[in-house]
This record gives sequence, C-alpha cells and structure tokens, in this order.
Amino acid sequence: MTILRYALIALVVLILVGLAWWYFFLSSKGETLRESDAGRGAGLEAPSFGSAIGSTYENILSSLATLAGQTGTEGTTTPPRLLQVSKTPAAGLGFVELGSPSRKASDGQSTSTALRFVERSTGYVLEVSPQSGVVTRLTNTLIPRVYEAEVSRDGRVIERFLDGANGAVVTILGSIPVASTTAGDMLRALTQQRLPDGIRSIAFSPDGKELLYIAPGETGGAAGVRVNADGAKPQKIFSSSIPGWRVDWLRDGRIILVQNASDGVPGYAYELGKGGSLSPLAPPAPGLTLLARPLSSALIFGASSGSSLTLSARLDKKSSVSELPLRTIADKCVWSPSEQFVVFCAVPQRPTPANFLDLRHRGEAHTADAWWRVDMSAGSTKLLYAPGDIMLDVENPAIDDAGAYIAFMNAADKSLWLLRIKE
Amino acid sequence: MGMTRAASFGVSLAFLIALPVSTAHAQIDFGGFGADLTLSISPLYPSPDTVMHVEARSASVDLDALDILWYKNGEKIGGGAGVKEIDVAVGALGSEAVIEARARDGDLEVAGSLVRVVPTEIDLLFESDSYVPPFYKGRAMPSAGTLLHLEAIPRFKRTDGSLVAPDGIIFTWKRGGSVIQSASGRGKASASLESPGLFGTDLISVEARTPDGKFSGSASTRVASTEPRLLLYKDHPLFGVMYHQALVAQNFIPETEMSFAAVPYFAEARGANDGRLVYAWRVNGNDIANDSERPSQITINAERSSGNALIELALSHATNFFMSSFGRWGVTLAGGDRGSGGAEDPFGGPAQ
Repeated sequence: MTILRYALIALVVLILVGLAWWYFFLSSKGETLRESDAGRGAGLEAPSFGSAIGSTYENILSSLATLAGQTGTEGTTTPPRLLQVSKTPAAGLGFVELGSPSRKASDGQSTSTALRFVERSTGYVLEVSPQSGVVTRLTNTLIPRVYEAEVSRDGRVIERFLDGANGAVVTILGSIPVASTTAGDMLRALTQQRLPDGIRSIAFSPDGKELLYIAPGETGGAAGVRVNADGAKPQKIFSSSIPGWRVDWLRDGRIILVQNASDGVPGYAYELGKGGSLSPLAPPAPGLTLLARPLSSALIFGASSGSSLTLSARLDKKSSVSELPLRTIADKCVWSPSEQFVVFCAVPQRPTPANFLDLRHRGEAHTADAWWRVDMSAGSTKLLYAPGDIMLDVENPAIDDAGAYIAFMNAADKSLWLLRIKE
Repeated sequence: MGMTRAASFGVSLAFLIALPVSTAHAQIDFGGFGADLTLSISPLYPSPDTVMHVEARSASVDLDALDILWYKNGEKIGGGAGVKEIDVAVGALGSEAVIEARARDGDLEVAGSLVRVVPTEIDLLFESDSYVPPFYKGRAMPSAGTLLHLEAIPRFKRTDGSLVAPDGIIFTWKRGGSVIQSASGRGKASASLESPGLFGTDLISVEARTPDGKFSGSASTRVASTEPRLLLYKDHPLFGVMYHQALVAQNFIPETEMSFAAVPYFAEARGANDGRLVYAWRVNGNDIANDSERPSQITINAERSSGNALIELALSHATNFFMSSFGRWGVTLAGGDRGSGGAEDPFGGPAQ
C-alpha cells in the first residue's frame, strides 16, 4: 500500500514537472512568435484613408517597424531576421552609403549603409537602418503613383511614373539636399531633373554620377543613351531595332544588356563594349534571365520554357556552364559581395506553372519563395531562410556592400522586406 | 502563350565558311590525274569550339580503294585506306583552319581537296510592336496584324581580332524558303516583317556574307503567332494600375467603388486606348457606355447595391478582323452604404 502511495506521489510530481516544462516551453515559443509577428507588422490597427491628408505616409507611420525619434525600447531592440520594412507598396529600393560621420552618430548606426526606398503612392523617399529598423522619411515632395524607382549608391533616386495627360512614361532624377544640422524638420524637397519621356529601362553608374537609359530610337527600336546625372552631355552609345532591353551597370563599370524575356523564346544577353559593340555573355536560352557578378566574369543565368525552369552558372569565361540545383530565375538572385562565387537566390517552394515568366510579368502568378545560399566553389547549396507561411515573391533583390542584408520587394503586393543573412 | 520555342535554338548561331575547291585560292595541285574530290562538312555552319564532320566524295575515283590522308593546317590529323570521313575540332571565333584531304594510290597522289573553315556567329533576335503596358518587363510577342522586328547580330571575327562591321555584310532574309528581297541587302542587319497569321508559325532565317566571300553564316528562328491576352487590373487612386495583380475569376474588393483597367497584351495597338480597339463592357448583363477618352477603363460603384458585379469585356479591332478577345471577372465590392467611394485599404484590412 505504501509503495503504491509513493508511486502515486511520484507520478503526480512528474506530471507537475512536465506541465511546468510545457508552460515555459510554450511561453518562450510564443515570445519568439510575437517578436517575429511584430516585425512583420502584425497586430497593427488597420490604417485609414479617412484623414484630412489622405496620405499613406500616416499609414506608414503606423506600420513601419520603428521610426526615427521614437523613444522607448523599440529603437534599441534588434529587428527580427526577416523584417517587413513597409507594408505599403514601394516603387524601388537600394542600399546607400551613409554620409558624414555625424550623420551616422545621429542615427546611432554602426555601419555605413542604409536601405533607401521610394514609396509608390507618394514618391516620398524613406530610409531604414538595417541594424535598428529605424525608419526615416527624407523628402516631402509629392510625386503620386510612382511605378518604378532606382536608388544609386550615393543616394540619388530615379522615379518613374505616367504622365496624366498623355500617358507617357516620365522619368525624374531626384537628389536629396543635405539636411541642415540646425533645422528641426529633417524633411527636404526632392531636387528634380526630368529626363526624356518614354525611357524603358535605366541604370545608375556605379558612382551615381552618370545614367544609362534605353529609350525609343529615332526610327524605332531602341537607343542607349549615356548621360551625366545632371542631364548634360547625352551620348548615344548603343542602338538596336529590338525595343525591349534591360540594362544593368555593374560596379566594375561593365554595362550589361539583357533582352526582355519570354517563356520558350530565345533571349540574348550582352556586355556593351566601346563603340556600341555587343559581346555575348551567355548562350542564348529560352526565357533568359541573367545576373553578372561585378569584378569577375562569373555569371548565373536562368532559362524558362514550358514548365521547365533552370538556373545555370559559369564561373569564368573559360569554364563550362554548370546547372545549379535550384529552380528559379536569375532575377531572384544576388551575388555575395564578400564571398567569391557565393550567390543567394529566392527559390519558389512549389513547382511553378507553365510559362511562369510571362504569367509573373503580367501579375497572373506569384510564388512563395525561400532563400537559398549557393557556394559554387564548394559545390554546396543550403537553405538560408524559409519564411514559413509568409508568401514572398521576391523581386528587385539588393544586397549591401558588407553582404549582411538582402532587401527585396514582394512582387505580389510590392511590400518591402529586409533579410539579415546571418542568424 | 501561343509562342513556341524557336526550333533552331542551339543552332541559331551559325557560322562558318566552307569554300569548295573550285575557288581560286582553295585549289590545290595534285599530280597524276585530274580526278575530282569534293569535301562536304556537317553541320554546314559549325559553331566555334565544336566538332564538325568532314566527308570526301568523288565521282571519278573509288575512294574506298585509295589511301586518304587528312590534314588540318598542314598537320596530319588522320587517314588510312578508304577513310573518307573524319571529325575535326572547330577553332574559336577568329580562328581559321584549312582542312585538306589527299587521296593516294601508293606513292601517286590521285586527288586532293581542301576547305577553309572560319567559324562565325550570328544571333537572331526578334520582338513585336504589339501592345504591352508601360513598365512591362517581358517581351512584346507577335500576334496577327502586328509587325515583327528582327535583328541579326553577326560576329565575323578576323584573325587580327577585329570584327567586320554589319554595314560591310550582305544580309539575305527569308521567310520559310522564300527570299524577302525588300528586306535584304548590304548592311540590312534589321528587318521588319509581318508577324505570322493567326495560329501560324513562320521559320525566319537570315544568311550573311561578306562581299569577298571570306565570311558567311546563317541563323534562323521559329516565330509563332500569339493570341492577344485580355487582362483586368485595379486602377487604384493611390497606386495606379496594379499591373502586378491581375484579377482572377472571382475577386473581393473591400471598397464601394473601384476603377478597373483592361490591358490587351500583344494586341495590334499603340496603347490601351488606341482608337482602333473596340471595347464592349457589360456589368451584370447590362451594356455599359464607354468612357470616350479611356475606353479601356471602367469604374464601378456599389453603393445601394449588393456589391456583386460580373464584369464582361469583349475586345475587337476596327481593322484587324483576326483579333477578338473576351474576358469575364466576378467582383464583389463592399455594397450598401459602406465606404466613401475612396481608395481600397492597401493593407487588405476592412473598409473604414
């Protein structure tokens, strides 16, 4: 009888210990989930457009992770690994080098880069510190309905929208004047320079002091024009009877042209040489997408035909092409600036539909991606980050100079995200 | 997508020059008889850094009974009794190789021939002038009635590394096997042709050569006609046309009023509101008069209604009778007295 009593007591103790362990386990997991959800903007009040201003900026104020000037503990906590920087649609993004040391000190930032982006509805330029998640709005010049934006490394922006009168594509080059150290209001007017209408594709030079854009040619087709950032000295350096090209100006000064892609149709990619000569970069491939690595002849390129999606790599001009074990497109990848032959790619977690590229371009299909890291010199492919039940169709990915953060937009809703590469 | 992959892909680069012995500088002397010997290569235009197949033929001598010796740039690369064929590595772009075959009967050279192989490349690019919306990152595909823009990018590389400029090259454009005289000629590296007809597929090819015959090559691609695709998007008052979110068969929009923009991808048009495009809108079975300035757009207000709208759109073309598209989308708006007729909450939350 006594033995039975002791056994029952032991059993009760064990059950209590187990319940206590379960309670603390759930509490710790719940805290992690709450932090993650808060970083993604969950739990916020639904914003309203009913204010007198009617600007989405007020909604940004309520939805961004943390804002400059806020007090409390939020500004000092480390953002979650995957941070939703903006729930409102963005037009474009880019990492910028921060200015003077005083500027860094004022923001409490320890590194020299920040993520700058343009809000789609207002054209406002905002900036977020990757380390703290602190967001600062920089400009107060309203440019409604900005469809595309580019950000140079020195902080200039290009904003592209449609002319309300004739529907032409308008391209504005914007500079942000240096803020007065004494003025209380940090908001500045965007200094604007209007470039020719109808530009189809545009890229900053590595130092931000020049532009290269693809515009309609005088007799049709396309013309590539190199121009100073102030709009002076336009120089036609390329022409083609093919209208659709995407231009990329690498940090080593090389200019890359990739023909607009369509599933199952051969696409071509070239390096633009002196005198407008075109040197092929990769063998023509159906639905070709391509990403060249700066300061190297390495490149990755994707092909899409029917239901087939492949990604291949070539490490240098003499090496053969090898297919990577990832089913994605090169547009969803970034090269690591700090590790040679390492590339980060967002990869659809489920099979993509047939003619995926065309469907995606038209907004008919989106993917749910996970980030993968491929080390081509080591021949390894590892999962970097899976966002769980968050549907992220990665577009316009950019990586900072230190190779610590990847920023990107979600093509499904144009929201802006920031991923810390290291856990 | 009706576009099929270019059948010639992989061979669409093309390449080489193979001069028969009849050309003056390719003629070789051989002793004994004047027996004929011809060399044929396969593929006709081998790529740089690939392998080509060379075959010797003769109508006047029995090559099987002879020793055939093969040389590349003067170096023997193979041969033997009755060896009429050989695989030869093609050099890089800018290289030149002379492949030579000598048929011998003992010590007597019966016949000989050579080919000069200069690998070249030609890229053949195409895109249509069909309509795609602003900021579209894909390619404008050809549909019936549109123009097809083609461009040949030749790489005829001399041994000194320089390239022959396109204006020094004679281009011959073909549709199927028929030469298109109007598009062909010296320096005509680009061509604008009619796109294939409805459901049609055309093989477009281009041959290029220098006037002196030192360089030549060809490329081809198969171009299929694409049916225009009609899609509908929200035209948001703050964000503009939401080209990244095409409406699906059934949609819920938590607003009482919303504008929609139709986009006729790949249609023969200069814009969505091109006067040649004929839009016929119907909502819940009722014909809707077009906005005269923007017939591609429609605004629906669901105040004092259930909010359910079945939008139907028929699109035709005033001059292109091949074009006919139809779309149907179910939209559920926040009906009744809710909302102020303003913008949708972009966060996807409930209407305020």
